Amino acid sequence: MNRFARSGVPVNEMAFAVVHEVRGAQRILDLSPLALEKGLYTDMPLADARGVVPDLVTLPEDAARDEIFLRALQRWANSYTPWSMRDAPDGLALNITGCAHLFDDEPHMACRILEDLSTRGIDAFAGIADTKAAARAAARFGQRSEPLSAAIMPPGQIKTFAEGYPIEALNTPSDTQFECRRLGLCSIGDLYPLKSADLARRFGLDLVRAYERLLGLHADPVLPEKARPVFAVRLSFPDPIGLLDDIHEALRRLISSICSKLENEGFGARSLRLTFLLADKREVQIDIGLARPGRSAGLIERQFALRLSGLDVGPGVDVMRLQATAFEPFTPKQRALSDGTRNDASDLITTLGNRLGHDRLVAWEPVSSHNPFRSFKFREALPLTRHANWPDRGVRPLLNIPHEPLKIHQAGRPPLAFSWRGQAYRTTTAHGPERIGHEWWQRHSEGTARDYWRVETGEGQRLWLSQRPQEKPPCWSVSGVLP
Amino acid sequence: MNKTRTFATPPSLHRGRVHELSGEAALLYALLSLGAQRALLCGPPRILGALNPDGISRFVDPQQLTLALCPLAQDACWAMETALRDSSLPVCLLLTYRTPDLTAFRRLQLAAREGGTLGLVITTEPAPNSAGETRWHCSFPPAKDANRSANSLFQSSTVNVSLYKNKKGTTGQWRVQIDCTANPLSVDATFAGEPVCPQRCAG
Repeated sequence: MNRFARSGVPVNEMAFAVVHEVRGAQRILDLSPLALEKGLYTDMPLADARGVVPDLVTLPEDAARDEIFLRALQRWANSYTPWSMRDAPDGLALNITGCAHLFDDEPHMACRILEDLSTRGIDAFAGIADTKAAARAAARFGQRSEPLSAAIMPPGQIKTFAEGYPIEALNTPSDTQFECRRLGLCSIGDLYPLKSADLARRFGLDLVRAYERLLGLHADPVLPEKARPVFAVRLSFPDPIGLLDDIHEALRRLISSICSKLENEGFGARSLRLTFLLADKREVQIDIGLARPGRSAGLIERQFALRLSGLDVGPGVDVMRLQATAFEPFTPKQRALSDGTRNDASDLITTLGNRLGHDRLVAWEPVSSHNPFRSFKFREALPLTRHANWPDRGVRPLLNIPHEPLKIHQAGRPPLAFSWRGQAYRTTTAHGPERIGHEWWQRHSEGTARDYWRVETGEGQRLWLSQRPQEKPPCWSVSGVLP
Repeated sequence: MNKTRTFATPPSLHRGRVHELSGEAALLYALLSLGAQRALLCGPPRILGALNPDGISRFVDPQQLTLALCPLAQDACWAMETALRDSSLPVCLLLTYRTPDLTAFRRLQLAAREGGTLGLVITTEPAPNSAGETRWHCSFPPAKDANRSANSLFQSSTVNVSLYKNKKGTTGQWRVQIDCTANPLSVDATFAGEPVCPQRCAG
């Protein structure tokens, strides 16, 4: 709701709701104050809400943007304490041990945080307690004296304060909450006289764990989530630009700036997204990928240059934004002894991958299997290193053919004369059989054992014929072309 | 009077050029010419997916090959051209059903010359005209040798290599014997007379 308000939606002036889809039905996720006054509530079906308030204005939720917003808030929280984590979908947990005295005391600190959020247009509630779960419960269900103050549980008094909180304060799945309420356990205080073994037997271990977390009997630390760096740069122009040379120059500046950022943090980009905000409010995006983490400005520029030629920017570009959408720690490698020689194909594979798709550039890797059709697999083309010698599996065909039946003209074992793909063959020499069983221990393996024969034909072709041993009459097929 | 010149071994495939190979043994001959060099194989997934690295491993290490699966023919030509020009992989192979047209082939030639790399186009159906530096037809000779034991027969291969177009140099036919039991691979060639054109190119 606050995110929509910040983006310019006048949420306080109308009955407004954020809706999301639950099992094919639109339900209300969040409501503006005016909508709440008119009697709507969260998780209400949108159709019912429209019946109550016909002029209700709704927007769909955008979970990805909400998460980015929460992530930004978490980065902001680092100004109060270095120990902060996101409590998805709409909370932040801060470990303020040793930080409160910097803001005089806990109430003042909470007040300062809430004021700070309020000036940013975010409505928030705060709770301070010994454990993370108790602080969460206090923030959501605690009593507070003034609008901008936190619900504070003094040290060691969780049990006293949490007694009156509803069972929903335990942060358990909704069906567990429903079950508890059905059995008359409406507040946390109702759980105190019960044995945890009985609770576990009736409601499962989740409820007991949540209860223990609340009271601090089970470890539930605030894991300091180091804010993941964001590598993004933008360039806004006083007037829209449209010439390809200008776009290239702007791109060059963006790339050199993002590369220096990556270098400072020790990262290399795996994929980058260039976004053009056009003068007519449209957005155009170009994505490229790199075959291995890289921060070489020349390489990134070449990849974008291939895609820029077909770009249609219409009335001109207002803003260009370059973001590293995937990045990894970067370990620099020496490519060659001198600058003149190039022996590293990773740039080539990057270029090919950006047009063909990176999954279309592959290399073979041996698999420990005697089945000729499953004895290798495809892996990513990079790294180009060779691990070991390729296992020697004897005489195997150069081309695998998935058991194509042949037409027998003169029977035999293997057939003395046959035709395959419209060509007649005469067997001159044959060697076999080599019986290869199917992989019965693999669940998806199907089929039976096959007898394979190497056959040299009078026409020169060497074929790998196969047949199922028990089949009557024998059905022969071509399984490969031998060199 | 013209003197018939004979060459003990077939001419080597020059770097900086693109050569065309056709026939059922074309892939085998291309693999033989790779040696220990790294190579890129471009082609439709239907052809590349059928290759068996276990069979290839008798001639070259499959791990020195990188595959570019290109469902579209123009993508395959583009990938080949980019790789030839880039020169980070010394050899590029294009496996295709039809020879690229004269313009596309000429582009490959220019790219190979620029990068100093070796390009091989392996085609199922050779076109009557092609811009290849050399054109080869590789086939397996009809079997007549029934004296050897069947097992040792499959340890070696014989390929008839016919060089029927050469822009700079001789043409001819050679019989190449490959013995896979020897380490390193033993390849022996003998001159076998006039070249044989594939039927489509005869006119």
